[in-house]
Amino acid sequence: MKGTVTMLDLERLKFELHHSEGLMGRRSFLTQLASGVVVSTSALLFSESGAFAEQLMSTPALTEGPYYPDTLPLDTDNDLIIIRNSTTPAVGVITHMSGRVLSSSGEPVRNATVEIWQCDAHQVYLNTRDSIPKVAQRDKNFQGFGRFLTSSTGGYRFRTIKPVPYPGRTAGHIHVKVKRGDREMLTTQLFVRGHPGNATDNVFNDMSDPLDRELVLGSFVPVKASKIGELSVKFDIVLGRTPSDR
Amino acid sequence: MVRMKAIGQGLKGRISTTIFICVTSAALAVPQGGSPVDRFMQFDVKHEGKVTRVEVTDPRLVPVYDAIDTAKKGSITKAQVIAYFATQIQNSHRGPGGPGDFGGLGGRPGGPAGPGGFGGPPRPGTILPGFVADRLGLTAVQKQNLAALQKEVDAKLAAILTADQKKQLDGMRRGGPGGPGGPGGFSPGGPE
Repeated sequence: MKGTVTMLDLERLKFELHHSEGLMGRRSFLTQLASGVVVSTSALLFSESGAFAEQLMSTPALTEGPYYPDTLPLDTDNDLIIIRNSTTPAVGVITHMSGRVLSSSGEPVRNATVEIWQCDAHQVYLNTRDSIPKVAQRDKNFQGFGRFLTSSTGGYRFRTIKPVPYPGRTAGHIHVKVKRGDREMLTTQLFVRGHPGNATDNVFNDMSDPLDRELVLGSFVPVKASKIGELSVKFDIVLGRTPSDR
Repeated sequence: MVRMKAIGQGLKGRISTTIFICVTSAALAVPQGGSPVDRFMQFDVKHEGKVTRVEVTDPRLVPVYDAIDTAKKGSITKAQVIAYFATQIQNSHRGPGGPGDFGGLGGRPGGPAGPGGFGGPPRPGTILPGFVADRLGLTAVQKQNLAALQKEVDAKLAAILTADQKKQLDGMRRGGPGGPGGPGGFSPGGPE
């Protein structure tokens, strides 16, 4: 039985590699991503899959906020640093964000769409209510929004910038939404572990349970091989049980 | 070359993942809700009143375990878990008049929490909870004004209520720092 599953997995893996290359294009970062983030993530999956086997707490739902894109950008891939074939990258500390979408019993949620959005390094969101008034301020090279279809391991990854605070929000944060088809499964936010602004941030502080806070804090750690100070953050998303999610 | 390596590693991960799904399809999910102490003590599958590091099956919460087991004893007691979360709550900051203190159901029979506790909606009397303020996209100035208004409301509300009612309300607010400052309500003591 194991042998059968493995062959199936191999086929799916081939498909996904092909698919993900299609999504990401032939960008130079792909090699970096493959050698750095993908390998380390796979290694993590390997070492932690056993640990995930039993009980996982659901990632808490948090407010969507006012700036989910009102018009999706032309480029919605998982690289928010480069828009289409531009040669100018976004401003900010490049961050490789990756993780898995899992059920509360630890099973991977495949074919789920993970969407992220955040303001650019100059504190402007990709939403006309924010980007039009602040047109001169915005970083036109930041994609502001991206999405990725989870693999059969529930895995996803993005290249983006380390989130910065926003007026009225003292904590840098990345908005995250998980969908299955058109159905929204979870809307939440990822925070930077150790950021001093967390303590005074109203969304962060609205979480009354310290465990919930723990579940939305990510450690932004330097990518060892990077000469330009890139960071990586792992954010596993655990979906709670919903009546329609049998 | 790099790609091959990725495939190799990825496959390992996938195989192990597939196997563990088969093994654990009947695994229980952690019930959501309840106090953080109760939630964390769900890892005490043997119901021994203590949790070992291995029992913390959610890798994202192993750091919490490690923060409690500073002496590296290999297990932590419920009392330690309670003390840890009490500290967490006391250390958390709140803006003046800010929403939602740590509410919850402390003081259960045999619980050590006294009137304190965790989990729950924003405290009664909050004009705009933080998530609402965020949704509305309030500016920093608006937030300051809101905080001032909240302070005023709190003061006027306090003037209306009798001492006993205030006490009750404080109980409902579950010991969090009402408005600016004030100690977190997870009062120590009480029988285990």
